[in-house]
Amino acid sequence: MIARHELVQRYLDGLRREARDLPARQRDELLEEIELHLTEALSDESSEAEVRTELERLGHAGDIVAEERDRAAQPTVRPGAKEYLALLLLLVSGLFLPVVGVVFGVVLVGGLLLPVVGWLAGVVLLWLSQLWSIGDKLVGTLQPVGWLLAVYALRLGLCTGSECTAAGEIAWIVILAPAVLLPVFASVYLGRALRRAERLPRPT
Amino acid sequence: MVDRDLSQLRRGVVEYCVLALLREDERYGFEIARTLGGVNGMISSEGTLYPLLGRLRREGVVESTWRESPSGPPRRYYRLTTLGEEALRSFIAEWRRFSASVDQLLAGAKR
Repeated sequence: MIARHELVQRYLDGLRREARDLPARQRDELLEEIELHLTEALSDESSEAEVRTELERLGHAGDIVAEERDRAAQPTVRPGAKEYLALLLLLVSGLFLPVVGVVFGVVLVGGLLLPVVGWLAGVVLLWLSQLWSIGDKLVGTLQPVGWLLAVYALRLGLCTGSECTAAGEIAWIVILAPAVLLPVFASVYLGRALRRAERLPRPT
Repeated sequence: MVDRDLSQLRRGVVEYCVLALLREDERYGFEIARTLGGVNGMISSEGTLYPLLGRLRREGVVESTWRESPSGPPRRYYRLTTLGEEALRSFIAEWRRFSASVDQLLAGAKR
């Protein structure tokens, strides 16, 4: 209706362009309000001069968007040391746990102590963060566990007890080696979730 | 310098003027924009009201509802929340004290 007026359409397009960096919900609400404003201010019969006057009263699109940025009050929680450390610990321990298992074939207390402690610390930090959803946290927590269970389930299938043929060992390593990418995928996933969360304002 | 300071002062105060406009009755955006735009020096342009309204809503001092309009599309009406009423009340008390002190000092400086 009102947006049919060419000047109004151009103004709204300009506003949309200026506002493209704003969080989606904030941008949509702002555009909606400005459109409503123009709908109230103008009618289909409005002359070009009237349209110009109204757009002038509304002000420059750039000024409105600048005001929106200033007024946003930054309710966002930004990722900090906690989140980055959690990601690092989960990645390193996630890689380390199964690698140690694959290489040594048995759980060595000394060899596993570090990854296990690192993993526990990573999980605690993961759950303390407000930026990840419950689903994200479960992915981060369960991925090395699932991985480790797969390692040992497979080993049980290929070997009997601690006795294992050379062929069995090799088959085991070959089958499991690509799974080393799992912690990498999980970290990439969590990192992306973090960037999404950063763009979404959350109530404080 | 004076310009910058005054614009800071205005920015801080204008949101309470919006709350004050909503004290008696709920209003829709265009109405608030026209009223504030008509007061000299209150907002730089009518469009800059909307970022402010958005923030007030996110802060929970105002809330909005859609209502049918007698003419044209539905309007989004804003009204104060309890939190908004409290914020306005304490601002009014503080502003009276503050502006009285400033007036007194400015009058004294003239002499």
